[in-house]
Amino acid sequence: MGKTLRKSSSKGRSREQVKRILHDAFRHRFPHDTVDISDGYEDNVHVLVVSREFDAMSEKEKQDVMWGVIDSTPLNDREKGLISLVFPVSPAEIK
Amino acid sequence: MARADYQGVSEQRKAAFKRKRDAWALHKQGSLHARGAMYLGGYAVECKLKAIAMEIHRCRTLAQLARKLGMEDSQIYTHGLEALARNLPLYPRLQRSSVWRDFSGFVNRWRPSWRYDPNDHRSAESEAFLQAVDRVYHWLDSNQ
Repeated sequence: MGKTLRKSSSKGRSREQVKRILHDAFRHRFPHDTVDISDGYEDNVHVLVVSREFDAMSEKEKQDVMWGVIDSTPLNDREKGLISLVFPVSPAEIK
Repeated sequence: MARADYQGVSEQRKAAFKRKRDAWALHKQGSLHARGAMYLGGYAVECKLKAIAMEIHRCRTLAQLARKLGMEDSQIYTHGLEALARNLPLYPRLQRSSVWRDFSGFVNRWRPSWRYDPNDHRSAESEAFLQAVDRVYHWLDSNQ
């Protein structure tokens, strides 16, 4: 089931195209930080960014930044619905 | 008591309600308990999803549900809430709902391993997480 679903996310873009669009948008916004666009459960997509920019931000502010990037892409609502994990991480949280 | 004692639909429903209430009570104790509060909040959603899944798939126990969904333990514990939600008929509506960003931005970050996390976390972090849990939980209640 998962393999079939991975072929395309909608009538429009393929899932790989969705991942590429996300990668390019986050790489543009965070040129020197860790940007990881990976596979989630079945055809879902996970977005992880590790950046010092998040150090002083609240959890809501971090999410606003992440979704701001996603909303700046041409992805439609159905394609955004594939993004099942939006994970902004500050290095301070890891250390 | 054995884990099997709590595998039924009503047990999972009750556990969901109680663990969410516990989570907020722990959160109000301050930042020393933030991770514990977050763990219980996520666990409440897990119980809620399992209860809904059992009802929808007409299973009396979690063991029956796992067999019916063809899920293995490793799937459940690796992707947890995502896998449970994904296997519900309501999932497409959840993806388009007003709480999708709460789910993907907060709730789906939950991991069972948080119960082993010895680090202190900020109260603001648990507050944001539990608010997202509340919104997703209430959406599930209203849309199952």
